Amino acid sequence: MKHYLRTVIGLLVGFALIATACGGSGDSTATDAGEEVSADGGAESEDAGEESGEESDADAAGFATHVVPDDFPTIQAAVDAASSGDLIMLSPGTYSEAVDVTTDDLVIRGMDRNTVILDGNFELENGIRVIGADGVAVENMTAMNYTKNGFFWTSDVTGYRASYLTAIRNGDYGLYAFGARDGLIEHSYASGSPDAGFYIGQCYPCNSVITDVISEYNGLGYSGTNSGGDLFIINSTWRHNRAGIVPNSGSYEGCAPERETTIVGNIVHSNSNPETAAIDAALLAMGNGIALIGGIDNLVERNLIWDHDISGIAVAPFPEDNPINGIPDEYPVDCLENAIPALPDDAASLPGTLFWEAQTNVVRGNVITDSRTADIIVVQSAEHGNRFCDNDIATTLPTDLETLAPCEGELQNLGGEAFVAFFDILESTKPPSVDYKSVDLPDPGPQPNMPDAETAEPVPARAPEFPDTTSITVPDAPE
Amino acid sequence: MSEKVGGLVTILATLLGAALLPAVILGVLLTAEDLPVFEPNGETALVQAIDNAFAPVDAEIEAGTEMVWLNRGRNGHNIIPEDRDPAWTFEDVSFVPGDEVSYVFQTPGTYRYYCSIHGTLTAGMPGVVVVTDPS
Repeated sequence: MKHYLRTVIGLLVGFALIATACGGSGDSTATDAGEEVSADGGAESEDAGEESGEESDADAAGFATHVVPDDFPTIQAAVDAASSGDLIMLSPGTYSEAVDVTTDDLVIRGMDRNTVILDGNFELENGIRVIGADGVAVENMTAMNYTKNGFFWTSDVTGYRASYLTAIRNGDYGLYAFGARDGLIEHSYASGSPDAGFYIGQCYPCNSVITDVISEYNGLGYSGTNSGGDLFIINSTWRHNRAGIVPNSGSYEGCAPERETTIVGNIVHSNSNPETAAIDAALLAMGNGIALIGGIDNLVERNLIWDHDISGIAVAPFPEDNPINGIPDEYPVDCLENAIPALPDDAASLPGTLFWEAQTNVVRGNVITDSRTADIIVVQSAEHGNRFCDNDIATTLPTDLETLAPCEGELQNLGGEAFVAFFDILESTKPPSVDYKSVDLPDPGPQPNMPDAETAEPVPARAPEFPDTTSITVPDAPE
Repeated sequence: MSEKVGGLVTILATLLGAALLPAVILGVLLTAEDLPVFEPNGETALVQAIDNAFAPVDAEIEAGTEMVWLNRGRNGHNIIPEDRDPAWTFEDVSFVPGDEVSYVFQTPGTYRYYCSIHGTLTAGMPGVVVVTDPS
């Protein structure tokens, strides 16, 4: 026994010396999470059963509720202490925070959408940023004045949900989902971003739905680079942006090209607004309600569209200057592999401008009025296989488009008239961007709150149910 | 356990602690001032920032090489160095599409960084430069 004791003492002395030399702190493993409620988290929680907290009601409910600022002084502190499946409840107030979320299946909810405000004060980058955490839902709050994004999901996320969110005057996007799939964006509002109010990019299949949102006074109402595959944009309003709904392709993100986005039942109007903040792509697409630029196999159906300087719907190539890769010969591609840029020597062989062709898109059953150039413009040749039918329209470019490129039957020569107009548009001078920090924005007024926000149990985000788009009719014009 | 074996283990354990101690102390006391510094060699290497990743994520260069980061995306990015010794940084860590920033790494080591807009040191948009001794 004495020898055992000496052995143990010897080891302890050795390790104690090492620990002392390393400056180890005895309280380095102590956190204040132990003061909080237990984190049962349910069957899908990774941490289920690992800790037991002091509040037994959490075990009964199957999740813990962390109230800010009652339980934690900041949102970030509550998020850091929470376990999968927990609910973070934000009391009314203004929070000057940039919150990072890395725990799966959290639900972060404001008690009141209009009075729970995250304010970046034009200094912080992102309001709530979910990095690589699956299943996180953010509900019922406002994010404004961030230099980049109001709400942001990124880094290979599976499962995300944005419900009853308001994003105003953020320097890049309002709601931004990048490299994320299985998402639902619903009942939300975004204004005043120079890129897009709503963005879903670099995913295939995205398995995502945008429904019942309003996007206005942005550079683009919606932008989606290299996204698609069971991606639905439905029953929403896109107005007073430079351009409305703009799926697009480019070599500067993975998953190229954009394809298989379904756009149905939207109200799209007055997207020729020269007095917004705007990135270059917004300047390029300005004056179009829905612009399929460089996209493939998209369906645009039964939307109500009016009041655009150029077109209600444009189908055109996307001219990408200084590309970093060529157009994939085959797709789908491995998204991350596709994102690797060509080495400089290889890139030298790429054209100065790469034209992503819009191909095999279908545009049917839309109601389009008051387009100053044409209700539908197609800047592609017949071989690209875009088809048009049953639209309630007055003008097209080329003329008689639905006869030349019908949904059924032979495709005929579309002529070169639209190409001339297209290049005139490309070369025309556009009103410059307005600084997002000072641009005039309308007061959207109180936005609808999430029902039962203070009592509803948290539901982590999962793959959304896909809508039955065949049941969606052309929306009525607002009064 | 016999007394002989027990005594041997005791000695080994004590020696282990004693042997590691100087190394640990040396690690603590060794500062950036003691690390080798190599002159710029006129070579450059390139990391491209796209949306939203650095490519390559892992770059390896010889000490004295100038690393250039070129923004080829459509988003603005930045380069936030990991807090380390020796420290390294830029006058302006942000760069918009088309812009580039550079840094000459003169001391071998592993230099981690990230774009704080689109990630952290471990997820989203991280990168690392491994600087080796000149061959």
